[in-house]
Amino acid sequence: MGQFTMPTLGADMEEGTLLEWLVAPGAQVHRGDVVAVVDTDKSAVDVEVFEDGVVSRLLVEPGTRVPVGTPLADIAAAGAPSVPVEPFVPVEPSVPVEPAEQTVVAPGPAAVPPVPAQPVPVTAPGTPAAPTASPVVRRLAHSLDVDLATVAGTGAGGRITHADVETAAHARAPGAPALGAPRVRSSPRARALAGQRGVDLSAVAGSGPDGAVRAVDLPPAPSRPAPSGAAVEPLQTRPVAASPVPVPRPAAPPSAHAVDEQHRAARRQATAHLMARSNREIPQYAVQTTLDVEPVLAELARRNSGRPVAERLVLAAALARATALAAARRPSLNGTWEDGDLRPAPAVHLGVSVALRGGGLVTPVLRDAQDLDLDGTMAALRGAVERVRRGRTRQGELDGGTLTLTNLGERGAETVHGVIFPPQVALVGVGRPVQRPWAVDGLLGVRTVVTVVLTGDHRASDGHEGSLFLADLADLLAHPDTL
Amino acid sequence: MADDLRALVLDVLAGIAPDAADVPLDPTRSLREQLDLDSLDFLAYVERLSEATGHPVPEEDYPAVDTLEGAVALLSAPRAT
Repeated sequence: MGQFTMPTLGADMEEGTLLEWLVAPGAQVHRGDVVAVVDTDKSAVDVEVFEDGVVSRLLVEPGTRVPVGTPLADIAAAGAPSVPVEPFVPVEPSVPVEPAEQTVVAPGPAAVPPVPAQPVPVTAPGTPAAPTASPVVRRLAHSLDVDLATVAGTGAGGRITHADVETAAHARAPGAPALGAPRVRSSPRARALAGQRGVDLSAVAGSGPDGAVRAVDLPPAPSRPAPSGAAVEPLQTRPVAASPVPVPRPAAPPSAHAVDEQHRAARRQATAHLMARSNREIPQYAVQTTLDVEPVLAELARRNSGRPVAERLVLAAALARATALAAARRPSLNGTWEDGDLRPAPAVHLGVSVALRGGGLVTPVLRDAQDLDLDGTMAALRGAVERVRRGRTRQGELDGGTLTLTNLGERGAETVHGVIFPPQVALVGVGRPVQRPWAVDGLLGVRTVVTVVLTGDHRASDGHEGSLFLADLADLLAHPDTL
Repeated sequence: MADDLRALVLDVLAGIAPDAADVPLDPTRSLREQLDLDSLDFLAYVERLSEATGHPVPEEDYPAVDTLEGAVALLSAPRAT
């Protein structure tokens, strides 16, 4: 059993908003499946689940903003039984139980729905004082902050099963914090109903003994029924919280325009921060060269003729491909600068700068770009740019770059001295293709050329290595059949 | 017929450059320039035009479809069999 938690989608991300569930309880998921859409303030991101299994319970409603690490859903291991809906059979209650209200202080397990019997934490005679549970179940209990001593085991011989632990965790009163903090006094029925309705028990005035919350004290159930099969409960807090964290209520969804504006503003801040840091921290040098791109343009035209539009190649893809190949040979230009030293990367994860319509810059990463052939590079580039333009990037797509390519495109300036994206150690800037006078076999001709500027981190590399990189790039583009 | 095609072309462009939907377009000027389309945008434009009309658009026709009137003219012409 595992949990799907709010992922970190950027180094500076502390909170995210769950926008949309793309799976429902009962759905079978596999490692890598996209299960939800999360808003990170800068963009909407498709997020994936990391294990195979079945979605057993959605814990957070769309529209809710939660800290990174907050459990969003429970994933039952493939093949394991999901949370049972039938009532528990207590092993041997030492206190007589009844379906009517019973106030308890400690949260105990309660079947979700209905709530007939109330198993009281006990150990059957003859069993050891500590409840028996396998190491896996113990780990599960630990990760869910469930005290095994308070769980009645329904397995053979009183063993505590996965399901026992899961239900104990979810039956914990909503709004009640994790172990160690003050608990809300409430009856089991109130807790179960509050869980179903998403009510914060700490916000309800209790009419029971010592102010305990009873079922009758709860606000009436909302007219809209909860999604079938899913007891959508408020998020569980982490043990670090010293006091109860109020259950965040999903706010009214903002307009699409407002969201766009918010994203734009956040992106600008992020870019500003990164670029200022770059200039502060990185001693940058630049080397430049002008390359004849007619051989590569001719090769692209040759490959494109007869191809449907969906398979055609553009110069930007050829430039990305050549950059990845040349970078793979230059450890001092492909990697990161961390803790005072160069960390060369074993692969080329090429960031490509994409200018957004309406302003702003996003840099999706083409992972393992050195392994993509030209067609693969084109497909990856098209996909990444399309997702960025649509505002729906994939989890991890914006991180982990080892080098960035800033290609101004056909309507850009001739030359760009780009700024390195820390913690990377280099950036390749390409201007627009222009026709220029050129020496061709000792005679004056005209060629389509582009100007390439390599900006390097002088702590990691120098002009000589930068020049070698540019020479490799020129060579690759002069022999486009090698791309 | 030409009106339908014109509407189709404008529709395709709106899908690629939604922010430019209200920009009055000069039918004889480059669409790339007027709408700030890069090579991938233009490729998407050509792809959708081609899909919507069933009319192939080889690379040599890119300059023609780069204007509104050029695109309508090209798409109205009978396809080479």
